[in-house]
Amino acid sequence: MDMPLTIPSFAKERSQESTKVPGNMAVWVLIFAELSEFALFFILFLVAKAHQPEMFHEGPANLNTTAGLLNTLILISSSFFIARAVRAIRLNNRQASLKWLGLCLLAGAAYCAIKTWEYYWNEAQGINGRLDVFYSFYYYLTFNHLLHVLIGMCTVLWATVRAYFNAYNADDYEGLEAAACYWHMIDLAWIIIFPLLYVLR
Amino acid sequence: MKATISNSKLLNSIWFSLMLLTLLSAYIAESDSIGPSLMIVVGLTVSLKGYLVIDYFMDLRHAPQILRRLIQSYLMIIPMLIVLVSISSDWLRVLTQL
Repeated sequence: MDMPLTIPSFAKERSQESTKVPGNMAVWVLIFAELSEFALFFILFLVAKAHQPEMFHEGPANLNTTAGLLNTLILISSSFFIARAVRAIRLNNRQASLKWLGLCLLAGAAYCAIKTWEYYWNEAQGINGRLDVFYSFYYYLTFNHLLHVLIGMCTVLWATVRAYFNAYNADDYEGLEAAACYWHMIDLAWIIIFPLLYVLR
Repeated sequence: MKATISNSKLLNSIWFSLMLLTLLSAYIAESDSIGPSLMIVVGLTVSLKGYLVIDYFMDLRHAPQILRRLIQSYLMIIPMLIVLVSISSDWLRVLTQL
């Protein structure tokens, strides 16, 4: 007997959901600004590659692909962890959300540790940013991305502290979702950087 | 509750697919020289990974379509450009000659 009432209310809920911006508009302005910055780097990289094809063919062969691969797997996992954290808070499960946020921060820290190891490894191989244009681009892109990871970690840490003090629930989790969207953007940028620098020659 | 469980399961399988796609790209990277067909595979892998992150992790399936389409285009156009230049960069060199 409830069916006639349930279906229209469900439909209304769906139509509201279909226009909802995850997080808030401010974070999306920031996300598109950051993606535009990365796009500019990618295009400049490709222009340099077009003018120095041999240098850009040799360069990736000397990089630590294992470090690049590990960081890709870690960042994808961190994106998954924060997606699960948002999912948990939607169900009012604060404890689970905190657990997933903790895992995301741990993954962020692991990314930074591997990137540090990679830079030390490069030094040992005689690779540095002044070697040639390819390595200048490599350091500029990866260090810039590392800075974004650090900023993202601060944002996620802030959301974690707020979640710990009960700031979010199933009806209000805009801040957490905004932090998650920013973190996913960092993952998306790396999804492009990994093949650009390490795979395609 | 059933829908909730399947949603978490969906996120788990998306994560698993993303890991597999990354390992595929890394396996391709092991080759000394990659031909154009493998370059296209790598490019498509990037776009597919982007699609999965955008639609399921960011949950843009339920967002205004303009937002979803904009970010999806980014994850299609940039990998396409990268693959094009990797296959042949002559056109870009001519275009950007000073």
